[in-house]
Amino acid sequence: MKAGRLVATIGSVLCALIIVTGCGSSTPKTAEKPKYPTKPINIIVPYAPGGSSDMVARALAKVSVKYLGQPMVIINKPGAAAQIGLNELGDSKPDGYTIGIANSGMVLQPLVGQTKYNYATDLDGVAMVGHIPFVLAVRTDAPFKTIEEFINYAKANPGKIKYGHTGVGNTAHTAPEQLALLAGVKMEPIPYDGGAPLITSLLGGHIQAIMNNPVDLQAQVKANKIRVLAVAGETRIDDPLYKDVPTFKEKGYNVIAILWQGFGAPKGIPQETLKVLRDGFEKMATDPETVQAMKALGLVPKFMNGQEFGAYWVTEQNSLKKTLDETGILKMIKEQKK
Amino acid sequence: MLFQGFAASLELQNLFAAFVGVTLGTIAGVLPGIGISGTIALLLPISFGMDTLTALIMFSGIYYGAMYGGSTTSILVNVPGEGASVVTCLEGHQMAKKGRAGAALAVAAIGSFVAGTLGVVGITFFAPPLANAALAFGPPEYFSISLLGLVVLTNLSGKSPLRAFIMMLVGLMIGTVGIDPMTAINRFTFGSTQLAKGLDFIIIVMGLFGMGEVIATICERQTDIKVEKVKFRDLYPTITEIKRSIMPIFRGGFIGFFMGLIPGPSATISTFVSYALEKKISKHPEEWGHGAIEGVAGPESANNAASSSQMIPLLSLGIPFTSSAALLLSGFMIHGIQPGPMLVSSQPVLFWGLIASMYVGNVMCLILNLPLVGVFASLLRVPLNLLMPVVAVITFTGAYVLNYSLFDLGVLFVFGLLGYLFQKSGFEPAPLAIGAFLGPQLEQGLMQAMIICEGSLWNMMTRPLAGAMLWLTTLLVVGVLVKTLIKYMNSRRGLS
Repeated sequence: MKAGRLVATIGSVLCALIIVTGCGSSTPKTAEKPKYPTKPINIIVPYAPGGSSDMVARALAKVSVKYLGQPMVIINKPGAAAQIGLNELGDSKPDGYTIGIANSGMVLQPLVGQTKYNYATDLDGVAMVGHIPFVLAVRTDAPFKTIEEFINYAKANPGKIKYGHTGVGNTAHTAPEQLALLAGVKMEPIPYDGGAPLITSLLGGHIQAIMNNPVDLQAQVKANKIRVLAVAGETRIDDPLYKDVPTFKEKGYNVIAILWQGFGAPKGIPQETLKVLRDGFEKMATDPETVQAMKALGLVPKFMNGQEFGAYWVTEQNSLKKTLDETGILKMIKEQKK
Repeated sequence: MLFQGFAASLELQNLFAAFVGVTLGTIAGVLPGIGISGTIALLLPISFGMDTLTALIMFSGIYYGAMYGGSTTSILVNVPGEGASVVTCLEGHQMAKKGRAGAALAVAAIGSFVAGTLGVVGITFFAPPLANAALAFGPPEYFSISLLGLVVLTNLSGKSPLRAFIMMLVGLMIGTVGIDPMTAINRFTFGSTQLAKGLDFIIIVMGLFGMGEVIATICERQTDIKVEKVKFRDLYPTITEIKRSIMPIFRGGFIGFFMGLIPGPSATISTFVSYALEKKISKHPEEWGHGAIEGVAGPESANNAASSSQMIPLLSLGIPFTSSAALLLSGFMIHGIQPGPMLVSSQPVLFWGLIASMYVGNVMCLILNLPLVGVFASLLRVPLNLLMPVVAVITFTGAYVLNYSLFDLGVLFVFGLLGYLFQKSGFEPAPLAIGAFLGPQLEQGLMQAMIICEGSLWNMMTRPLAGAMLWLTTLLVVGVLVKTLIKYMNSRRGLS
């Protein structure tokens, strides 16, 4: 009996400890701030662990002690096309201890849904760290080997090409629609709930095409299972694996879809704190180790300072709005919301 | 090549890494909510300084180690820590109530070991062809298998078919909460962004089972509860119990291994399938629902085999079928290793070293878990008035750390109340859990399949795999209807 009690006591103490430490990391206490940062900085990643955003955040977190003097704690808040995490970022206290991933996905939601914030204008930029253009990928044994053949096939077989995307209105959806519009073809969208099922489905031949970031496709391209037909960037991708792939622009279709990764913060962080944060992130983003890690993730390292980054969000949102209008996606969504 | 791998994995640092991995994995598995993902995520930054193989061995250790601990809270206190151990609650907790918690835990550990090792054998010899076979599963197939699952599994508890059906429908409805994947319309969200992401399955089951149990204990008269003294010898399974578990372990292992190759949360589905199968063919049907050991042995083996075979698409296609496999992939990538069709030829030592370490790690898991059985089982000697508050704390903590969301705690509590009400009113929570689990898969699968099949159900029914499952489903439903009709006619005839 005594032993039982002892075990129970130890058990409850352990539980209490877990609770205390668990909660402590997510509800930062008000700290008197002689010198920011005095405690770990939380990074909200609005995606599940393991995704490209998550990996970028972790790569930077690795060197944060070196440049900011404090570790960064990754908090994954996936769900609702990143809205859960982004809202939490917007809601969080502007004390510099909670920042979050800000990537190309966030400019979309405010355009198509009723979001709590317009993330592009209601958050502050901290730093952009890298970007990568989307690519059009098909199976190697598909009847089309080039972008021209792809479009001809789509023209000859309207609706035959079904492409997968990872959420209504996101880049994997808007980019193919943009292409369809410019090339005058019809393709059917199919929603998936993540990159992995999407690629699996393409590999299995259940869908004919995807627009995806090239990182997730590396292994398949190397194994000659998936062929990349065109790049939705201003220029080709440097990587030897993709350097022979033309851009859509070269072929006369102005399809631009670039995934960018960076960090944002709630508005209202005191200037001096924000400066420390932005400077710290500049050093972290340009650290050779981070650059190496981002390359391993297939991202082209590209630093942009917080101010420029914030302005970039607005331009990106405007051009996305234009695409959504032209492709009719916005209209479709608005009508269904009625 | 495998021998070379063994040589690499038996190096001291790698053995140590495997040990650290499986220990952390077991702990992560035991504590509900703190899943594989969180643990690997925490260790990712620490692993940077390590040798690549060492780091990967550690991550994989966490991955399969967690599958061992998962059943612990299900059996002891009816709190499932993850989807794959929900079904273990059904028989496992009943066994614990009868004082056979130790037996249940031990059988779960042994089953996990056997099935886990079987899974690794499968990876060793059949990885590439199996991975390619997995690709044949497209959206029409996911839809069909979910539908078949729904039809077969709804009446899992086998008490009242009508009640089970109602609960399943409620579960399906709960599964529709959130943003529509096709049109991005908010459904049943009442303007809440928290609800927009949908209700987390694991929170629902933690509430229905774990919190339900806690609330039930509170509401029962405390004087009724007697703590049974358990002798140390009784903590371990008897010969009969072991004998009865052997076949379910192997059957569960095979079911889990093959279902693990199907993208999506197949580990969970495989546990349900194993449970249903064991129940169907059991020689002791009267024991089901009151602690049948087969109902622990089968599902627990299935989920371990599934988690092993989920390594196959990860290693040979580079595609993670589950979120924990996704994190494992991150672990690989961050060390510059790109799993995929080229991994075996480009990194043979690494690949085989990892596989070999999984054999070693599974043995470690067993050695680690068997003594723990005694420790955990003796926890039940703690009087309920002390144990239940701790259970409540564990459940709340587990639910919280899952998404760090306070909203989830509210959901947990509501489902706890529901779970209690269901218990009192004779409605089984299991069909609801199955509905809530399969609902979203079913819905998305149907949407995707309809586009792929040009909007025609016939096109879907003529695809080989999907068709076979759909026809089987149709037959089952028609069969049940005809049976009911005949019964009805007979009773009419008897009346007149």
